[in-house]
Amino acid sequence: MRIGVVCPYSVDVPGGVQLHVRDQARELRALGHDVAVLAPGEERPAGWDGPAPELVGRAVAVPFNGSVARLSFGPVANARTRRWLGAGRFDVVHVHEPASPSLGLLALLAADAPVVATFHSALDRSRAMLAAQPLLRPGLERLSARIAVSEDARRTVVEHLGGDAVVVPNGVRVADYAGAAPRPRWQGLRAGRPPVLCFLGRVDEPRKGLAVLAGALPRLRAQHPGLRVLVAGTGDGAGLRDLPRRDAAAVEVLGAVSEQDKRALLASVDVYVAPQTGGESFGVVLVEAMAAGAPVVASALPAFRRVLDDGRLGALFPVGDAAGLADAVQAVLADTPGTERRRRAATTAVRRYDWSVVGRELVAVYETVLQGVGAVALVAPAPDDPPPSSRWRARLVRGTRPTSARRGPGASGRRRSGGAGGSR
Amino acid sequence: MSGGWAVLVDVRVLLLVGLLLVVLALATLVLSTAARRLDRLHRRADGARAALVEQLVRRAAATDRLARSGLLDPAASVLLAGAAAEALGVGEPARTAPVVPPPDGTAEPAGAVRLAQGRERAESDLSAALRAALPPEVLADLTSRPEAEGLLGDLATSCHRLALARRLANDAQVQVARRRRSRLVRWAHLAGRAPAPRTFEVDDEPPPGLLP
Repeated sequence: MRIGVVCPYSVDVPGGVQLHVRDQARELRALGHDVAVLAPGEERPAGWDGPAPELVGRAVAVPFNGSVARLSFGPVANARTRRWLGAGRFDVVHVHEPASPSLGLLALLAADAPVVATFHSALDRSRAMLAAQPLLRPGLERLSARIAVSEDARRTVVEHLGGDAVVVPNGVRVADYAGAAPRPRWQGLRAGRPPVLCFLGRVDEPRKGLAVLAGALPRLRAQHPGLRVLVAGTGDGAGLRDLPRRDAAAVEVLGAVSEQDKRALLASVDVYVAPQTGGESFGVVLVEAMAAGAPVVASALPAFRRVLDDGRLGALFPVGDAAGLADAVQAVLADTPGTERRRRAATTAVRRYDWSVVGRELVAVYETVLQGVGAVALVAPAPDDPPPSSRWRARLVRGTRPTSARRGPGASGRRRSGGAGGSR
Repeated sequence: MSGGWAVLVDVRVLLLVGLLLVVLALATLVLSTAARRLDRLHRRADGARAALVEQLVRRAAATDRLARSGLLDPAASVLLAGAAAEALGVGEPARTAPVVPPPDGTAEPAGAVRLAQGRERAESDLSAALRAALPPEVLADLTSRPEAEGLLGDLATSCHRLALARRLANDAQVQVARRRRSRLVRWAHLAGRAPAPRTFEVDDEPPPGLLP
């Protein structure tokens, strides 16, 4: 199969969707498919080990949907997208976040091949989304299959756009995380020192919930003197400056970390804390932490509850509740056998998210879509069975009158009788 | 004097004709765009429905092969073979005898609706039969036997893909239905005689533990 994957966000800055596109392309190629990637950006990022992306050049940082996204649009991007589609002669085009005004939308409108799209985000109904709906709808109608990364993302799709979506979760390279070597300076209990917690995510984005973790620090430090919190993620940490000096000393801001460092970090720490307060549709980091063997303490967002199997694979606390967070971390640190049991269960559970599984599920979606396209193509040339849809199509689009108005017994029956007629 | 009149008439006629042409061109553009959009949705719905029908047949065939393999106890084999034959049989008439649409051509032929309902029931029964015949302990036993591997794999794949195909097909039907509710499509009768969209409602839950 020739598959074209379109990434909407610039690969010049790291991000979840970009990494997803990279790993997806890599896995599809490993499964024997011909894969090409189109993405905004200026140069191929370090560590991009999948099929090399075709870059359409500098992306523009614009506020979109509550945060700043680096997108590509405009006549040049459009022309490049069309050229890429023309040269690729794809069987399937897979776009990500088709509702964001970037390459995904451009590819969707320009592609002749069937288009499959992944919706990554779980969004609350926003005014911008509602305003954009009539503009987006003709484009989104072209999608042959919509993929949501979780039940929560699926609900967003259903509520915003109607119809339905299939769920194919985000993938994680489980082996890379399971095999990550811990670094002594990030280790706590296992190196005989006070416990170490870690937080991943943009420091200055309130929805990532660093403030909730900070609020739990006094109690945690009282119970475990010398406890450290490692914070990995971009941002200047303005929210952390308001902390009392002693609490602030327990927090170590690592800044943006590479993927390798992230794996080592998760393999080293005693607890990974996910205090997010909203806006999460899946929780890849939770899966990554579980794959690396880090016990997880997460806020009870619907998406997180699902990933943690309602607490079987990790501890949950009420969203935004600092005291609850402190209790949950305390319980994980105190209950060694329970934590070990969860860790073992999590190690098995994360295999479901390994790219080898997720990649095959994507291929199943592509094949189902192509099956349908093939069935329609098989029927179209039959002269005595006009294409079903509308009479107007024959008159207005093709300029010919339909030869007859005979119809089969319904979509499926007509298809098959038509198919037989065409092959006779 | 008369020359002046002629010019005046000419201008009026020209204006009128020009206006008419612009209106016509606009109407054509709007209608053809709407027709193309609807047509695209219809074609996608037809394709997705065809894929769904194919998956239904594949699942029934995989069930039938498992039933005849001798790996299951006789009672379970009979149950599965019967359910598979029922599902395949209900789908059969559509292939051999096309139902004649009603003369007004607007609604879906009544026969087709009955057929679809019979098929939904037969496919749901097949799902129930699979769950009954393959409880976790039987499934665990089968998984450990190498000769069952291919058969179980086929069944698991077809169950998974059926759920996938059904969701895609129903999504397409819902999109068509929504588009056909729009005022322009109804007033201009753009849907023509295409059958009314209809989702395929069936219980396609695979036996627990049967993973592709």
